[in-house]
Amino acid sequence: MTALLATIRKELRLLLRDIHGLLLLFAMPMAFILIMSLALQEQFAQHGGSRKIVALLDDQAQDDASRRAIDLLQTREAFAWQVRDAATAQQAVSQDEAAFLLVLRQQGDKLQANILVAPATSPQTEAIFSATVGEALSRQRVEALLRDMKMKRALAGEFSLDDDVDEDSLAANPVSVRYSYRQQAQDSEGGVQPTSVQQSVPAWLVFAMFFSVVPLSNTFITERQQGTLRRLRTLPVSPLLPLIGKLLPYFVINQIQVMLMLAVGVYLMPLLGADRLTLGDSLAGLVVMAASLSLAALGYGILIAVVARTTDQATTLGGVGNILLAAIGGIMVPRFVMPDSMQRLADLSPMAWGLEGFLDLFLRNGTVRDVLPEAGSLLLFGCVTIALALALSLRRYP
Amino acid sequence: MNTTAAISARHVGFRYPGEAGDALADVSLTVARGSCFGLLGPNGAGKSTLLALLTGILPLQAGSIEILGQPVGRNRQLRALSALVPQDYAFYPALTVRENLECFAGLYSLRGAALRAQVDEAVTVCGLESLLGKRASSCSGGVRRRLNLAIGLLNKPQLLYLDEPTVGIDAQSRHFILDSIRQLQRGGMTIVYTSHYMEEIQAICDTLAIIDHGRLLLQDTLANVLAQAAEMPAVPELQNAKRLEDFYLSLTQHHLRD
Repeated sequence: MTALLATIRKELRLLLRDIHGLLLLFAMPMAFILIMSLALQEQFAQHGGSRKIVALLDDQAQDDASRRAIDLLQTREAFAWQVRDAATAQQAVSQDEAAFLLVLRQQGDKLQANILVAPATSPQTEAIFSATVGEALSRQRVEALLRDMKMKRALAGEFSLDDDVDEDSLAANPVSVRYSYRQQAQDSEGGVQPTSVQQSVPAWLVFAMFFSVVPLSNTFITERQQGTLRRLRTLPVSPLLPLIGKLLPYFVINQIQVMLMLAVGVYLMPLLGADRLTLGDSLAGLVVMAASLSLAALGYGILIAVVARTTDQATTLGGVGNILLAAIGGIMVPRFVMPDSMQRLADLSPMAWGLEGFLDLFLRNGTVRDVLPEAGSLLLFGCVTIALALALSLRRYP
Repeated sequence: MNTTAAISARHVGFRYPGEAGDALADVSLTVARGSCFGLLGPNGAGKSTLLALLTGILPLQAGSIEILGQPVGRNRQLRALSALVPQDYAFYPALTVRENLECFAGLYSLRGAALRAQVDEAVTVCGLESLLGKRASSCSGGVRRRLNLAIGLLNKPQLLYLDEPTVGIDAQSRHFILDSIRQLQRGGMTIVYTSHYMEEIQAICDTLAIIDHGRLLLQDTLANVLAQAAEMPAVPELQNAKRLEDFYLSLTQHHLRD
């Protein structure tokens, strides 16, 4: 135990003095989380995140018909409706601060709706907006028509004004179309899609944990090249000590990464105007995912350390490998925007398993049971890579 | 001198996986307890392989080795009684001298007062008192060599393997290290010393072996080897060390070992 503690203390001291390693493990993922969350906020909103698309309303008609139309529109939750005056509204739309401006004005005896579309608004969003406006205006017109019909029939003496046929009966009309908007759209697996914060925080956290490959393998290879490993093998300690002595401190460092990155998502991002990261309800699930992901990342790191002969090789192999795993694993590009074939390819990346596990917990309120497939895959990956690293190490350095 | 063997190797052979030839073949030697044993040989002769076998780094393939009366191998008890000071600076450059010593002392399962006492003793023997807070990476070559040696003394070994411990340092540091080794030997420690410097071998060793192409060419006392060297023809005015070098070259030949 004394020898193990000495090894752990040494590893932690070495890492604390490795400024590049610290930047890689902590500063890089924090920067990615901040930049990507804020930069992709609107993009994620358009793909169904919780942020609503802003639509501005300018009621120039100011009559019963326009007021009723606006009332009806404001019940449509897919958009964040804001009533503005014409000048500021047009400027906001031209600067992409809002996706649409709907101007209602009286043209003769008709109510006319003019829609101004912002430059960055996608055609799909535009189509949804047009349908929403059309539906609200149609309903307003049908209500007006019913009122008019009742009035005419009452005047003709066919029935009284308190007849049971009124505009409220529209809601009970069995052929009426009812739109139902969700705050978050469905992804290909039937789960909700993340916001930019909910995607970026776990994604870059997974990426950062796998980047422990660089300091870990560099220490291991330096020990080997400098003859320290040879000296360690003459000491009265377990031959596994140099390996375990590295895995344990880096496991702790991985857990610190988890806590730090989640804290950034929960506490820092809202201060910067982004969404707050929601963590779900399963602390046990979070612990299981953090532990299994760490084992997978460290197994990958140890394998690279054994395979590479120099620190340059390890940095290149580990770095490029990480970027490839991240690219196909939905870290850099969210899976829900990938075509089906790429989504199937993503299943091969352990980073995707880690990310999906975290999304299960944070986004879908998953439990330990829900993340068992991902955690199991990561554990298996970790065990296989560590076993492979041991076997290769014994063969190469008997 | 205690004549009980500190090392007894019999018919030791070793071949690296994938290699065609033997790195060591039928090597037998004995190192007496309390002696300073010089192991000589050109580059690639098999010295490092022999040291790796003696220290248990490599598994024994052929023959037998007993260290301090116990069979060599992954014997933790035996490892606690010996230490290797490799030719490389086998420590952590980013740590200070003290942190390195404390780390390796911890690996010997030392802690508390015992750890402090052993670190202090190694520091004194190697003259590192004023350098404890200095990062190893910023120490001179001589200090690094002394730190390398100090780490090897932390477990108070009965048997110390020194693999070219004076390579690349100035005369002052070399003399300091050689004096320290003599002092350790006087304290009863058995030393196995490899070097390419004949004058060092002559200065501190009482017995020596010459190894080449994986085979033992000679094992004898320094006095006997020097006597044989003196009988060689040519230049009688040569110093003993030069004679020893000539004798060594006559055994191992002059051609380069690339």
